[in-house]
Amino acid sequence: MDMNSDIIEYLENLVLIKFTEVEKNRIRKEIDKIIDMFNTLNTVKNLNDWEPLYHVHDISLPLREDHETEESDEEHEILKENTILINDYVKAPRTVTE
Amino acid sequence: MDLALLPMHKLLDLFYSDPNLIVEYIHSIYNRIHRVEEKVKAFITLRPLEETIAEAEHLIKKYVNDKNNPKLFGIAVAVKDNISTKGIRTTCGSRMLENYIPPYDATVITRLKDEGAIIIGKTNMDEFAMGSTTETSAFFVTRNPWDLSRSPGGSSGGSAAALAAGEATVALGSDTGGSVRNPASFTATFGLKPTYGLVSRYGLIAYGSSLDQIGPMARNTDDLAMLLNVIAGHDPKDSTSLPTKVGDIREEMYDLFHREPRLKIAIAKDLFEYSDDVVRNETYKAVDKLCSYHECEEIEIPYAKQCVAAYYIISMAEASSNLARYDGVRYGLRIEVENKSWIEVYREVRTKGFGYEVKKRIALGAYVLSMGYRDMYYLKALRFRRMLKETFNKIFSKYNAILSPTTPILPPRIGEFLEDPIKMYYADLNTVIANLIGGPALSLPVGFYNNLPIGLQIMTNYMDEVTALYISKSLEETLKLRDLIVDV
Repeated sequence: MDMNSDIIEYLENLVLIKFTEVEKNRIRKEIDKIIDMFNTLNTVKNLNDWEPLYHVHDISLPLREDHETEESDEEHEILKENTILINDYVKAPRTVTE
Repeated sequence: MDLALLPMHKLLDLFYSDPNLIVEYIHSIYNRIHRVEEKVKAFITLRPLEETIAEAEHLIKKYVNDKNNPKLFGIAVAVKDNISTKGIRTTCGSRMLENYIPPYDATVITRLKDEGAIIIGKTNMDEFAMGSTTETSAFFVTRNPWDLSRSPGGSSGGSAAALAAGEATVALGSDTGGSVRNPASFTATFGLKPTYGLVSRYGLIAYGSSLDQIGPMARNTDDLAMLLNVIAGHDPKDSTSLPTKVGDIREEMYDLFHREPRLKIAIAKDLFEYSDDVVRNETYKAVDKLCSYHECEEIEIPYAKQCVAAYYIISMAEASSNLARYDGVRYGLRIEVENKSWIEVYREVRTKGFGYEVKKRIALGAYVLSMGYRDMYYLKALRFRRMLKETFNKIFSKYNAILSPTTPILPPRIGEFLEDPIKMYYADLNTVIANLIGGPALSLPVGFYNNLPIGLQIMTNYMDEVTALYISKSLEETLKLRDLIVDV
């Protein structure tokens, strides 16, 4: 697998992250070895005979009821800590670009 | 008598008879921290002494006339910085969460506090737990107290180093592919990754959700079992928490320890063979001691090396999804948003907030999930995971435990792994298996080479932490490698 510059650029757009030039050089050096490691799975015989295992416990996990909480302060605390609030409104970027 | 150096079970006996000793003990812990922390650098955030002393005094008043002794009465606990602590900064070792102060406690923290523990600080870690050396932390590198030029392992390296240097009595770590056991092995401490679902993940900042587990860390088996007793058990807030009743794990361990049943133990031949000579020799000596009493057989683990590939594909895929939430609006670094579009803000936040290793794993995770590659990598890894689980189900139908070195190498020099990340990934070979199959695994110290610690790993069947603790306790009694604190 050739992890060329186009793919790095494609991934940068996919995950909304920019690599610096230094990082790009580093990832180019490492990526082939990592993909080679991933490809060792091709040496496993009859892998297609097995169903994918997404979760280690084959039990149906319980869902819980949603309950309205009276602790609205907690919600406000979360917003206060992690966003830019102006009069309790979240300040957001522009939605329309020129 | 320096109270900071005593094991938890002995401290508790003292505190139950004279609670006022807790204040002296907290002072003693902080004195130790002030002496060694500059060299070790285990803590990202250390709570002010006045705050923890006030908490200790409050605890003493609360329980002075109470006959129910709390299980962790006054014990100083260090907590890995990816476990949410209400009012205490929780950075995950990342610039992205540098100023994040959680408004709630993780379930494990609530349980610690309910049993009278005092959280003294948050420990350094690889950024978002992605690493095995604590060097990918955005803040600083933690040093191994046994040799300051070497890494304490990771990603829970801060917790392990704090224990080895006597800066805390017990600690919490998290383990996605060995992050509790690897640093335990490199610092001559004890670490346990519990069965997936035994300990609540509510409040643990996610890396690989199907692999992550919070685990106890200590300087002896008793303290490990006592800490597990407090944090284990069903939690309705975590839908992957197992709805099973958990008994007194330490009592069950002692029940086995006194009855001394002969076990059938499997020796994972391949995992010994892949290890460095010094590690293999030292761990075999411990195995020989166990096998003089128990019935041991060598086994082969089919496709052992492929476990690393399956682990990294699955963990990176899950990381790319879990870390998509860090966009600077809902979570993460705040930046000025004037005259910028949503996409520009997201990209800038994620570029500035994440370090190289995290960026790389997110990108590769997105790659293995993307169209055309999902079947080639991600689904293949999940099929392998099913096969591995069935293989180990068969092994555990014949054997009570599987032994191997915890890591195939000695603690690496600082910087050694950063130059060769593939070497770092393959150093996880012995530990990732337990995460892929969801079973418990424990690391304990069994020897040294040139003053560098070497650990043995004990894997047991689902929900059979007790057998792992029994074997650990037996070896600890034989080798006397416990309560080790190194002067730095």
